[in-house]
Amino acid sequence: MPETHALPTATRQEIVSFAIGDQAFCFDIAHVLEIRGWTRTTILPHAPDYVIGMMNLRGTVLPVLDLSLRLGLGRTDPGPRHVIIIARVDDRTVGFLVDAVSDILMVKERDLLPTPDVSSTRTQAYIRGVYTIDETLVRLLDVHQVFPQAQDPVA
Amino acid sequence: MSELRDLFFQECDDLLESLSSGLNDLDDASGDAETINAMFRAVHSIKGGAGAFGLDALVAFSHAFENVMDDLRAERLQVTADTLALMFTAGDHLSDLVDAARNGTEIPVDTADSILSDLELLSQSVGGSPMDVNTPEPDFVPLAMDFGGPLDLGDLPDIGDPADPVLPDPLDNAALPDLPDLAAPAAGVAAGLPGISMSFAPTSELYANGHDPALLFRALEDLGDLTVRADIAGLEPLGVGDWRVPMLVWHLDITPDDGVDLAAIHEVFEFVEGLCTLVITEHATPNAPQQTAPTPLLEFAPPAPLSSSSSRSEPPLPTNGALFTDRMSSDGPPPNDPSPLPDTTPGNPPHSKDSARASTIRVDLQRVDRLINLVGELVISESMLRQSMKELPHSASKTVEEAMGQLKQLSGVIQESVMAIRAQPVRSLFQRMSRTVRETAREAGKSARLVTVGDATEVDKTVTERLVEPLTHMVRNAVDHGLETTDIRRALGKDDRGTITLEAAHRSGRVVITLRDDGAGINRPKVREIAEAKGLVRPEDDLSDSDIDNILFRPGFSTATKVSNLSGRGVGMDVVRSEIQSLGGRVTLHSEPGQGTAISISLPLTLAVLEGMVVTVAGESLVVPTLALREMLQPGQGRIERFCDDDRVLTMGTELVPIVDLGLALGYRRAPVDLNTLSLLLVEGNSGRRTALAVDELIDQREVVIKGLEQNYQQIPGIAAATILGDGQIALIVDTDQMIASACGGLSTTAMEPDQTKVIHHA
Repeated sequence: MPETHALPTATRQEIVSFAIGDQAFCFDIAHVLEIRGWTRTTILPHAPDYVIGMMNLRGTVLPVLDLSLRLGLGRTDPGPRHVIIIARVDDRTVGFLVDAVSDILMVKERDLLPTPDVSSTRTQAYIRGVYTIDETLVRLLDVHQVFPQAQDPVA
Repeated sequence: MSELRDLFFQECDDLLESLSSGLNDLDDASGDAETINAMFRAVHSIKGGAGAFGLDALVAFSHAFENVMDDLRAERLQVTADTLALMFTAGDHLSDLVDAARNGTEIPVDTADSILSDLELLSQSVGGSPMDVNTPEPDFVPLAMDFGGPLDLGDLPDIGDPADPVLPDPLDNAALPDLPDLAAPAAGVAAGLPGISMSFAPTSELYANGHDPALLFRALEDLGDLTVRADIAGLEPLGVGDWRVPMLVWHLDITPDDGVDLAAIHEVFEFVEGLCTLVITEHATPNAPQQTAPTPLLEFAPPAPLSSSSSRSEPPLPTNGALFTDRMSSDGPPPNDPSPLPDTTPGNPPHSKDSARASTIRVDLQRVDRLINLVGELVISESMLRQSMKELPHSASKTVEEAMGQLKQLSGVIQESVMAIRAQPVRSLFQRMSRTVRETAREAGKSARLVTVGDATEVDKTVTERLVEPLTHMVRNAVDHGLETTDIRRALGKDDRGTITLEAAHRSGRVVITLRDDGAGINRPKVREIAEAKGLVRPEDDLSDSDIDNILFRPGFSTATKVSNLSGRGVGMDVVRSEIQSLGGRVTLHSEPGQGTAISISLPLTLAVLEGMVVTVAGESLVVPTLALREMLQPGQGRIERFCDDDRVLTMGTELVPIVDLGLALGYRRAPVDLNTLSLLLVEGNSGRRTALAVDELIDQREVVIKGLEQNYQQIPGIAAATILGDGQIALIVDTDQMIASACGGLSTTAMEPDQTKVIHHA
C-alpha cells in the first residue's frame, strides 16, 4: 500500500490484538503496561458481574474485568491458560481477562472501518471500528467505555 | 514558574516555623541573640522571596517586621511583654499574608495597617540608625526576576525590556574596539564623578538564580544619574575560557538623586547579595581628590582588581570615602551594617547554623509512598518465599534457613525505617496551636499560655495533617471552657495566666498526645443537669464520674451557657472524637475539679498500617480492624434470637445486639447459614452502637498494610480498603462503621452508601 503522508488519516497506530472466544479484538498498545498469566483474584462485594475481583500486581491492588462478559459474549471460566492484560486507562490501572494475546500490529487509522450498524448498544458503545487484517476482522475496543463507570449500578 | 512559587511557599512554611519557635523561645526567656538572628533571617528570607514574586503586601509587612527585629538585635529595643505580644501578632499576620499570597486571596488591609503602624512606631520610637530603620516604606524597591514566564508583577516599577539598548549588553561591549590598557592593574576605582561608585562582579549563581544585571542597573537608574561601564579584562577569547564562568565586571557610578541614600542603593542589590562581588565606594565630597582621574577615557577606566568572579580578595581601594564590602557571610552580618544581609536568597535553601535543617532534604511524598509500597512487597515476597521453602522436601540446608532468618529481619528493619521517613515531629502542629491559644484567649478575654512537651515526637505526616482540626477545637475548648477568667483565677490563688500544656510521647507503639489545662475541671453536676435537660440521660440513671465526663463526647451536647464566637456551637467534642477515631485513635478524658482537665489522644504511628483480625467468610479472607473489636465469641457461645425475616440478634445480658452475617452482607453467599456454626465478632462503632459480625473462621491477628481501592477502582459499600496477605492474596478490610449502620437499617446497599466518615481515607 503506498504511503500518503499528506493525509492526516494516514497516522500509524500500534495495536495489541487478542482473542475472546473465537473473535479478535484490539486496542492501542499505549494502554498496555504488561501481560500476566491468570492469578487468583479476591471477590469484590457489590461489584458488577464482569468485575471478577481484585488482583495484586507487585503491591498495587487493581480490578480484573472479564472482557468477554463485559462485551456480552458469556462468562469466562478463568484458568491457567487465560491471560490478563494490565492496562492504564484514565489514570487507573486495570486488568482485562482475555483468552489469549495474539499479536502486536501496526495499522493505519484510515484503514479503520466503521462499526457495523447493528442493534446492540454494547457494540455501538464498546467497538470503535474494525480493522481487516489477513482477512480477519479485528475489533477496536474503546477501553474508556469498557471500564466500569462510577454511576454503574452495583449488582 | 509555579514550581519556584511552590518552593517559595514551602520555604515560607519552614521559615514561619522557625520564626514561631523563636518567638516561643523569647516568650519563655530561653532565647538569646542567636534566636533573634534566626528570626530576623527567617523574616528577611520571606521578604526576599516575596520581592522576587512581586508580593508587595508581604514585602512591605515583612520589611517593617524585620526592622523591629533588627532593633532588637542591635539592642536598641528590649524584649518586653508588649513588644513580644506585638511580635506574636505580627508573626500570625505574616503567616496570614503568606497564606493569602499562596491562595491568591486578599486579606483586610486595616488589620495589616494597624499592625504595620504599631511595628513602625516601635522601631521609630528607638530612633535607630537613619540608614535602615527609618527608611520609608515606599522606598523599598522590589526586584523583578525574569523567569521567562508570564508573571503578574503588580505595581512593580516598570523595569522595561531587559534587552533595552540603553543598557550595556555584554556582547556589545565585548565588541568595542580600542580598549586601551584594559588588563592593566588598576590603582583603584576610577570614579571621577561625585557620588557613589560600584564595582559589580556577578557569579554564575547570580545568573543561575534568574537575576539579570541589566535589571539591576535599570533599578539603579531610577535612583540617580548612572554611568555603566563593562570591564572585559577578564574576558577570554572564545573557545579558550570556561564559558560558564562569568567574566564581565561592571563599574557603575551614580550621582544619587536627592533623598536617595546608600541604603537605597544597597536595597537594589539586596537579592543578589552573596551572588556577586560588590564593592560600593562612597565619595564623601565631589571634590575629593581623585588619584585615578588622569585617565580621560572615563568610559573605559582601568578596572578594579576584580577581573573575575573568583577575585574575592580585599580590593585595594582608595579610602577617600566610606567603604562597604558586601559578602555572603555565614556568621551573620556585621553589627553595624546598615543594610542587613540576607542569609538566604530566593532559590537558595537556607544554610544557617540551624544544623537540624541543614541535614534534611525535601522529598516528594509520592516517592516515599512508592518506597513504602515496594518495601511492603518485599516483606510479602519474603513470606511467600518462606512459605514455599516449607513445602520443599526437608533437604533445605541450615545455611538457607539462616539466610532466610536474616532476610526476614532485614526486611523488617527496612520496613520500619521507611515508615520512619514519613514521620514528622509534632512541633509544627504544636506551634499552630500556640497561635490558637493566643487568639482564643484574646477573644475570650483570658490570659493563657501554651507549654509544649515532647514536640520532637514523630508521627506520620498524614496523621499530623489530620490532627490540626480536632486539636484546634480541643485547644479552643480548653481555653474557652476549661480556663477560668482572670478574676476567678486570682480569687482562687492561681496564676493569673492559665496554662495549656500540650504533650506528645510514644507509648507502646502508639503516639499519645495529651492536652491539659489548669482550669476549673469539668463541672459534673452542671454537665449532668444539661444532659438531663437535653434528654441525653435520665434523672434516675446512675452515672459514674467518667460516665458524666463522656457525655461531653455525645453529639449535640454543649455546656456553654451562651454560644460564644469560639466554641459552644454544640458540634464540639463529638466531632473531635469521631475525627480522632477515623484516624484509628482513641480519646480519653480525665478531670479533677479545681485542678483542670486532661484529654489524651492515642494514635497509631502511621495510617499506612492497621491492626486487624484476619477472618474467612465463604472462602474469602477479610480483615476486621482490631480498634473496633470488643469481644469474640466462638460458635455456639452466644444466645441468638431470631426476629422477622432473617433478622437475628445476639443477647448480651440485657443488651440486644444485631448480627450481620458478613457472607450475606457482602454477597459472598445467598442463603443464610446457621449462625450457631459461625464465630461472632462484637464490634463497636464511632456512634457507640454495637453489632456482631458473623464470620466462618478466625485466623489470627496481625498488622496489615492498607491499600486504597479508589485509586484503581471505586469505593465499595462496607469495605474500607484492601490489604495484601502473606501469601500475596488480597484481603478486604471491613468498614465496621458502615456494617454497624447497615445492621440497624437493613442490609440494603443504599444504607451502606459510602459516607464521609470512612474508616480509612488513605492508601
